[in-house]
Amino acid sequence: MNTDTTAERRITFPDGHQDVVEALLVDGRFLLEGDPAFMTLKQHVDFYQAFFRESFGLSLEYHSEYAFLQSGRDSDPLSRDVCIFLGVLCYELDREGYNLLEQLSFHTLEFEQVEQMFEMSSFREVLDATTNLQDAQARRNFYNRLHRRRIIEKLDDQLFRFTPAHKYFLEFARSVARYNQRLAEEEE
Amino acid sequence: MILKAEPDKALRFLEDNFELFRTLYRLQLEHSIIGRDLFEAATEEKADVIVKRMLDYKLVVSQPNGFRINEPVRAFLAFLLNEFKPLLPEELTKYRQAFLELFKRIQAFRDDDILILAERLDAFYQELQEFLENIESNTSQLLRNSQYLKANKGEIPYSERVRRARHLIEYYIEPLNRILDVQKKQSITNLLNQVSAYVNVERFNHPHTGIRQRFERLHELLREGEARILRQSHVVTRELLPLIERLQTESEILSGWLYFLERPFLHEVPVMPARRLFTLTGSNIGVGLELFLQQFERRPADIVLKEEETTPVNTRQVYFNRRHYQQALKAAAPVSNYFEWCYEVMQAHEAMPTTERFLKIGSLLFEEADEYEAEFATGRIQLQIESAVFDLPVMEVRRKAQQTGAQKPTAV
Repeated sequence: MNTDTTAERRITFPDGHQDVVEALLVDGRFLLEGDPAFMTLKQHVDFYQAFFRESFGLSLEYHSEYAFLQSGRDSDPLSRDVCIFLGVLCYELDREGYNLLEQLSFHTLEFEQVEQMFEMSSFREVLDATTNLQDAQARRNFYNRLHRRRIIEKLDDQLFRFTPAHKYFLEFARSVARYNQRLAEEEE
Repeated sequence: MILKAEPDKALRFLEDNFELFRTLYRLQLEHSIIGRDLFEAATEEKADVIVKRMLDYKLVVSQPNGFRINEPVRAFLAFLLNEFKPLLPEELTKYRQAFLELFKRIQAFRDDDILILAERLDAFYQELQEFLENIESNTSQLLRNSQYLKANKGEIPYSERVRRARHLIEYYIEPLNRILDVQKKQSITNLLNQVSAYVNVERFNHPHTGIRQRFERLHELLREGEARILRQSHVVTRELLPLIERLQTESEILSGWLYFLERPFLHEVPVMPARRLFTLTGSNIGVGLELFLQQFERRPADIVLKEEETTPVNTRQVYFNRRHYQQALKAAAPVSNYFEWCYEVMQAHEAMPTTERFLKIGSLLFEEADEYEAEFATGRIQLQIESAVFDLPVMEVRRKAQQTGAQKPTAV
């Protein structure tokens, strides 16, 4: 944090401050490693943690590959949609024999292929009940939202890949599994 | 010792009944001992003479609680079938004890019988050979087990895969890694390194030729063994550990998603980044503004109406007493024919009934939609007001049951 305590107390902000605030606060997106704004954030993590807490009452979630501002809302419909989307996708990828982590972290995926998986998925009922995932048109809009929030990166009309932000949701899934495992063990 | 047959005859017997032996071997692999019922099930279709010979040739031995394939035969079948149970690292550490003991004795040799030194060297050679073979078959078996888990050919549920992966790591792979890790002082590899240094000197220094040759042979095996152990160690650290760790992570993620997808709309979800739109006005300002402007759109029509009237402005005509009709409706409910009722109250209350007034009264119901519920009945009703004829449905209006009197009518 750059502070200057001469005659009046004056705060100077890091270079790229506006980009950081715009990405995190206005766009509400994941800031990713490789993004210039992420570099700024990385160098001033403590400052930004304090900045967002003091100014907006929001906590900054900072990981080595991605960062974002927690909404402070109890439940976010987009978050639920992302979880359902990733849950079904992971299940289908595994069923088709892909190496899950490798596929999500390093490979590009075709919209067409993902669409086919969703059309044939055995989680049809769940998808039907999810407004944003129920048909191809709804999913197209959903992909655009994921792109805007930087959870996926659309390479062109046919291809996309997941950004490191998807790991946040995978961690969530792991924590669910561990929680249930613990419950099961306690029951035993 | 087989007393009742020539060795080659026994081997031929094994060959002729290989399928049976394969079945028995797998049963023993799974249960450690072949229970009597399992044995009978496996040999059910075989002639009694085959079972008798199997026992006579000592290929299979009878025990109080079942049968076992005789140990040398078991090892031979394991080699042929390339199916093992991975050795527990505890089973491998016995070699360390053997190596250490032999090494000490070999080092301590002074002027004893030269023959015992030669025998110890031979024993060391033998043990080392066995150790290397065991290590190799062990890692390959572990790798196969891990790959089997990874490919999930057995369609094992995810949580079970996690448990098995953890078990493999904890009890087999990590301890095996400790045995193979040359950096660790307690590891067998480290001990073999010390032996190697000693043997390397003795193969030149020892006065006795025969012993020098044995040292030489041991030295070669040790050098070769070093490379083989290194290779196995690589398999463990580069392939086995990452494979099994990834398997564990993946299975964890998948089982997590499955738990989530069991109740996707009730399960809690992770906190997401929030979007904050910075606007000077509230979020429904657009709707409010539209409503506000709409009243100006209608006003000229009112004025035109007034201008057309030749009589002086009559407050009862101009002023639409909404509250009066609201109270009337509240008092009258339930109304069996809503529009007829509208018509009647308008006739009773308005000095000059007009279509416009009638429509206003009729719309009261929709403004108060929170308080009333309507139900269409059969039939329609015609009402004439001024020059217009309204063809209207018969509609019954009741107050909503749960809200009787609790909610005040909205003030105008």
